[in-house]
Amino acid sequence: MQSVMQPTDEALIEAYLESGDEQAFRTLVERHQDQIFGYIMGMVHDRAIAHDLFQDTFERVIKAMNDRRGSYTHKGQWLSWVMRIARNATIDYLRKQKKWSDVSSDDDEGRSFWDTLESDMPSADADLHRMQQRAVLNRHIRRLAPEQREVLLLRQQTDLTFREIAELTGVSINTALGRMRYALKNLRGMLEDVDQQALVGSVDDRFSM
Amino acid sequence: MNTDIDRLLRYMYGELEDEADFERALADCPDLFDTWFELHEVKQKLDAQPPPRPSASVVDRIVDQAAEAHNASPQPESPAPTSSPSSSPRYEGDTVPCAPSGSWVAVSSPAYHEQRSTAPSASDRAPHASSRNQGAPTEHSHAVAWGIACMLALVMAVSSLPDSSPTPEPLPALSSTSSGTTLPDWDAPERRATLHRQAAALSERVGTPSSSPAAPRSFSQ
Repeated sequence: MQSVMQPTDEALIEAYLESGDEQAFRTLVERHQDQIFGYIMGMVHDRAIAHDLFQDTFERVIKAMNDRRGSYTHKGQWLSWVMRIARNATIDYLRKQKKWSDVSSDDDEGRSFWDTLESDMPSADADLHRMQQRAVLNRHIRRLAPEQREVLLLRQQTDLTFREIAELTGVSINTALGRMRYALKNLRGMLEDVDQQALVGSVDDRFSM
Repeated sequence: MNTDIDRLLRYMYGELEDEADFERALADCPDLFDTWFELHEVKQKLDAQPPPRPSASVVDRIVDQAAEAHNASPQPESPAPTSSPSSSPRYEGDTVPCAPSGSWVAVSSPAYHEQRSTAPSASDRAPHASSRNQGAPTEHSHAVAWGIACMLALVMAVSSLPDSSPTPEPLPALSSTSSGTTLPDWDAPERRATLHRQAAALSERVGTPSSSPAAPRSFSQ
């Protein structure tokens, strides 16, 4: 019921373009910030850099929207359009860092992007366990091939459809689905390896005692 | 098999249109069901991850940039009202245009008189005057303009009045002073009496009895 009362993206865009309604633009940003920032964060694994890229993305968005005033051509596809800009900014950064074409290695610093999140109460055991699980899962995500990781993040974080992901990344929908398939299977395999190592470790500990 | 897994992925993410048909396939094919179970477990772990969120200060900066960009860019041709607080201030206290060429016309219009009659008193408006733009017209300047307009109308009315005296009176004679300069003899009692009569007649015509001057005692006697 609440979602019915919310103005559409297009209504917010129109309010901003027609009358400079700041609150409408803020609502638009806050509505999609998790999706856009989640993708960038998942790709660069650094909160400060993700903030820079997030802001850089919106600088381009704002400029393009105001240049296009009166002839806005992205009706109904604002998020896809913004995601395209966010992706370009992110890929540009990764290419400069020479991290885009290379398959991710294990040379991470032990910090995942989930670890960099501000936690409300990390002291409890349950939270600690959850954070450890997040760290493990995220480490596995970072080990995925960049193309697989990107499709995974776009589908999970940004909630784009596979067809939209295919259009955004310039591949066929079958390729996008294939990358997702490998991403999930590889993650599954990594998680099973961790479980087996933990099981072997616990068995070894038992026999060594 | 890959086609089935592609359909499975779209089913998992709610993009498959014929879900019932695919669910029948899942029930009929154990291998497909096992694949679904494995991938679904991974998806559940991913779904449990809270999304990272940008800091509020970054969003604030973005919104500020959006406002600045909108104000800096050319306005659309349609007369859309602007609600931006940083837009140029507009004078809204009066309908009199700021341009000197239009102010006189506005002052003498009936609509302006009606507005003036319902306008708050000067004491009510006084607190607002200090907050206004110095370049904008003030209430005081409108009052001055209104007074000048009234005086002009009075002078024009006086000059167009028919003379009530039977014979046209000559201009007052010039009297010489001790310094040799000549001054008009405005103090002549007859001339002053004539002027007061004309003023009284004018006051009756205008209909403002309070402004009619009382006859000086020295002339009534």
